[in-house]
Amino acid sequence: MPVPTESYLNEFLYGELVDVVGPENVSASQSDKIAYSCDYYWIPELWLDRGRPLPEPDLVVHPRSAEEVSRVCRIAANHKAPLTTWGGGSGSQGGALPIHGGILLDTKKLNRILEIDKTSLTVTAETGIIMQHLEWALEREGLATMHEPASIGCATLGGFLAHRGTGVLSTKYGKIEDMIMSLEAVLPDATIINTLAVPRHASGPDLNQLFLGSEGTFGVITKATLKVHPLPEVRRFHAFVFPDLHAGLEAGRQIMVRRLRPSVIRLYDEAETRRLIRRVLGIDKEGAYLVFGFDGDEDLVDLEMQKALAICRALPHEDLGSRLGEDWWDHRYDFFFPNHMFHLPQAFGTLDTVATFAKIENVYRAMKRVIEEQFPMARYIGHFSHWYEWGCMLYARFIIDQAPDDAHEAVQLYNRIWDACLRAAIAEGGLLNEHHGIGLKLGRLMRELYGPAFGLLEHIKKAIDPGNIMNPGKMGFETFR
Amino acid sequence: MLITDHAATIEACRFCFMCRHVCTLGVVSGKESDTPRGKGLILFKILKGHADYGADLVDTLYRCCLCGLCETWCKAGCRPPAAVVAARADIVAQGKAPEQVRRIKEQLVQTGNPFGLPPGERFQALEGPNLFRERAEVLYYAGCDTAYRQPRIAQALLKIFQAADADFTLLPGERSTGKPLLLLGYPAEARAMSGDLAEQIRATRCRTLVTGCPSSFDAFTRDYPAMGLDLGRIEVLHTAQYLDRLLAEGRLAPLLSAATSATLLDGTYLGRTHGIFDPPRRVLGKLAGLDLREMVWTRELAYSAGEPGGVFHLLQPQLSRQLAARVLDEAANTGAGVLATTCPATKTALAEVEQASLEVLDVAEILARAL
Repeated sequence: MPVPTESYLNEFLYGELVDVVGPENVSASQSDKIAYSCDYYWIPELWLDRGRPLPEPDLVVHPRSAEEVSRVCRIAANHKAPLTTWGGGSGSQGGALPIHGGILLDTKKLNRILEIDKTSLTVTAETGIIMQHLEWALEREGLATMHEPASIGCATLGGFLAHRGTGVLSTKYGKIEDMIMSLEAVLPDATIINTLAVPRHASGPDLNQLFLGSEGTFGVITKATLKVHPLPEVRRFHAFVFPDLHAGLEAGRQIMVRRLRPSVIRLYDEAETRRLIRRVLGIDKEGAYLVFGFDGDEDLVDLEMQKALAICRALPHEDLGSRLGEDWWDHRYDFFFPNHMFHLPQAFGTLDTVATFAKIENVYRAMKRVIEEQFPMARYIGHFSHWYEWGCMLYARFIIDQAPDDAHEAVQLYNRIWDACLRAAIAEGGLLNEHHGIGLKLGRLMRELYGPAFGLLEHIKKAIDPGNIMNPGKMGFETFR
Repeated sequence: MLITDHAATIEACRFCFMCRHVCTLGVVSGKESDTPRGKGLILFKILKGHADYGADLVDTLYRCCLCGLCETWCKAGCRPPAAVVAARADIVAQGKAPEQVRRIKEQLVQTGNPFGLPPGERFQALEGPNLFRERAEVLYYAGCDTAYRQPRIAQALLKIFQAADADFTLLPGERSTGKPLLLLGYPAEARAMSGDLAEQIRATRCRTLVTGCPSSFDAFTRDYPAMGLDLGRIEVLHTAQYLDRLLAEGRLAPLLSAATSATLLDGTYLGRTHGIFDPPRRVLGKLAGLDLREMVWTRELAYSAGEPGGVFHLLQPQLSRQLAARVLDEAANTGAGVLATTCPATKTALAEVEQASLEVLDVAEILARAL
């Protein structure tokens, strides 16, 4: 494996890392520099597409245990080298990009399943495991985490924990932060810590929640214990088309405030129903497509399904039956293959946000108004795909079919759209993000979102990582010096 | 540049992660550059003139085992292995092939096999009267791995031919089909080698060409027609298909299995490319007393130990052992005593890894033991 040649200081870094993980697990190869310079964030994709140089890591390291991660952290701290943790690299917010060079720590060799506790229904695994691999292993035991995001095949357990990810069954089973029992993390000073064994207690604050959503800025999560569930006896879906989004939102709200427990509710606005649902599922309808599903024991599912159907049928609706709901489930990942995904030369962004039922429609309309009034080159679509007892998540997107040719102009336009939309969302009671995270993309808006509370987060960051080596330049924290 | 023909795949793969968890090499190495996305990013830079084929990039492009699981998994019709093979041809055309690749190519050209072993030793492990006949109904093409590394597979097949009273011959001038040259990035040399072999095969005027090597099977059935090489009306069968036919025609007596349980490893060419999944299963299914078990990763989604062209274990011996260990683990999970293969190169790669609980045997060997 070639050693870095740009700086002789990197030779020291390289040698020390080899001493920890062996030469086969440290790389400065051009192939790796290219492969780790781009994630799923539109701006590096654009930058690469236009032939511009991307920030690259100086070194890529693949530790195989928490102890090796700890020793890598010590080396980074000693050298004051930026240390960016990379799981699957499939994030859309630039969260894992090594924007200040330094060491990129790929967790994918921390991929062992350590214990499946069939008595308590928990699984303990290292965090570099690709989520689908964990899920397949659990399936062999008749179990599942029920964390089923579109990125299940490409993202790691640690990636989901680091930015509070979610899956399509979240409405019943929760987001990853609801699934966590405990975790192990390596701090920037190389200390390996474990949080308490169970997440419900009165033994002080919940340290799990400190690391969840910290996006690698507080340390490296190396191990986690999650709740698991028996595979359901049945999983049933039903689909409707409502005359408009408002009616669809009301149907979803009533299902939730009635305290039914659907595993899925997905409601697509008129524009997305017209385009994406038609293209992927072949359903040619005007209005707002709603699909929901229940899973579990058959008799309970039947009962809940009857009650949900009654709610929907009491509103103006067209009943599409169960097959057109099941089609969505069978094709739920198809949306993300290149033939269906938005792609360059389009510019596109997912403005996912969350608010209470009282506010979510206003959030949707406020962002829609921003796009329609200020950015006529863009269009706006959205769906509502993760529902809570008190509100729901909005997965809004803007799409520009032809991004400006000039990369500078394109990035500036892109960021202006984000700023304008998210400020409108915040003004109506929405948040910056619901499950993709903050990363590089939205850091500049964190202070506006949090207000004075962001100062508290900054104090915590400085206390944990005084050298500011952990994933610098992300989450709105002070950038690397 | 040949990769220009693969621009659609390269542009789609560069930003897509949807197959990374099934990518054989990516899963084993954990390196982003080993996944189709990583190679898409690299090849996009090459395509646009934003990077050159430096040694690192070349190394990455020769690490792919071309197993094709990414292509099977893809719902957008992308063909990463074909893009990688095109890139290799571009690398060779620029004179940048790694030394190990050049050595294998030289050996293929000089000796007709990738190991550089003397052509005269090709069939030295085979014994029997009339192995080389001027005319026969069936021409048995053993292939390099069977001839030099796995002669027991050929011996098993000869035993089966005799038991079925088959009218068969071997090709005295047998050499590689050219498939490894094609996959290493030498299309012109592959064409020359293939043309020579095709002429010899045609001259035998056999009715059926039987090979136990899936790479050779794919060469005869896909590469040769694509190169404009005509085998005339010769029917090409993999041994699994041929044995299936012998059993269906009742040309082999009822058989009692020597092994009690087996699991079958499907492959890149026979399985994923040609959809031939059932013939080897039917053959094993005819053996009384054999419990045939399925792996979780089976048929078109089967794991790979680096089958295509039989070159992966020569190019990347360390990675090859990791791939083989993964296959063996998956097979061991079934609890079967035998791992049945239909690819001699795969059998060679699997033999590099110690695995106490499993015996690895070609389907022909399993059948021959039951005779």
